[in-house]
Amino acid sequence: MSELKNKIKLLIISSLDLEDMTVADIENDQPLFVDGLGLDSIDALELGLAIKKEFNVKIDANSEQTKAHFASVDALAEFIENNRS
Amino acid sequence: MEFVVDNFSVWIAPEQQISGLESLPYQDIDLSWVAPMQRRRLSPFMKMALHCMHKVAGEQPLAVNFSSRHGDLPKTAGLLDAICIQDALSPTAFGLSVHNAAVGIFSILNNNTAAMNAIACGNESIISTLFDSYARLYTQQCEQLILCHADRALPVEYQCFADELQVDHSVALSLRLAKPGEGYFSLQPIEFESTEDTKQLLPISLQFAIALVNKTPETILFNSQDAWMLTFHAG
Repeated sequence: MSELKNKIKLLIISSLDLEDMTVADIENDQPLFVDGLGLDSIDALELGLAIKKEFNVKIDANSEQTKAHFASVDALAEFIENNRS
Repeated sequence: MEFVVDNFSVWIAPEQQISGLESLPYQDIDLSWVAPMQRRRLSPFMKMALHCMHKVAGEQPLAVNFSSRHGDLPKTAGLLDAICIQDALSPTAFGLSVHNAAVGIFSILNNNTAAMNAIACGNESIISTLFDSYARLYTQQCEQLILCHADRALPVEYQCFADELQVDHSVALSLRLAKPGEGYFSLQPIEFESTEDTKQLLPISLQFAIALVNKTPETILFNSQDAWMLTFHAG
């Protein structure tokens, strides 16, 4: 699971062009949006696309649960682990 | 058409070895005024345009007339490539590929609610944008405005269509009408037949920039179809 979390962090950094940020700068339970890492709604779209490509996970943009899946690296890892084909 | 250029900024990519560009001063792109979380999304095209606009406008909430022949073509070409292989499009790349993205971002970053135009008119884009700028000044829609032109070299797969030299560049000018007794520029269409290979001509935007840098009294700006006389009238 920790390998998956590192992969997710690397994907966040590369797909969102987070300048000067490393894997060590992102905590597993840190909120990704607004007050935490400071990502916004465009980042959510971009990250959703990157996750879909990298892990072949289908993300339902209209689902209420999607927001919870994108809350942190921990939540994303759990979602990917349970849904990738 | 008569106008005053209060100040201007030119940026060209440093690695370009093209004759005629020697007189243009090199400057590093300075986007320290853009928050890092916003800066990370900016393409090289957007960065050079924002750099020049900010150099000229500073914090003033001036209207901007943005000009580009191709817009952010490397980004657009990347999107087209993705469509060809039926790959999903990046939302950020798509959103920032539209022609008015640079002035849109500029207005957002500066909380500037003045009018922003984005014009594309082939290899005469900057001339059409000068005419539009003059019309806005002459009809007193504003007293001063920024004209910014930016273009990047064509991506490799499109270079067979090049009809002028390909240079990554951005130019921004602060324009207004002349006050009585003040020095000003005039621009007039003229009859002119070039003997040069037009594929070896600099884009008109760079011909214009070189004339401004060198303070040339009279310069013929020309491409394969048309020519204009740019004249400086001392006050």
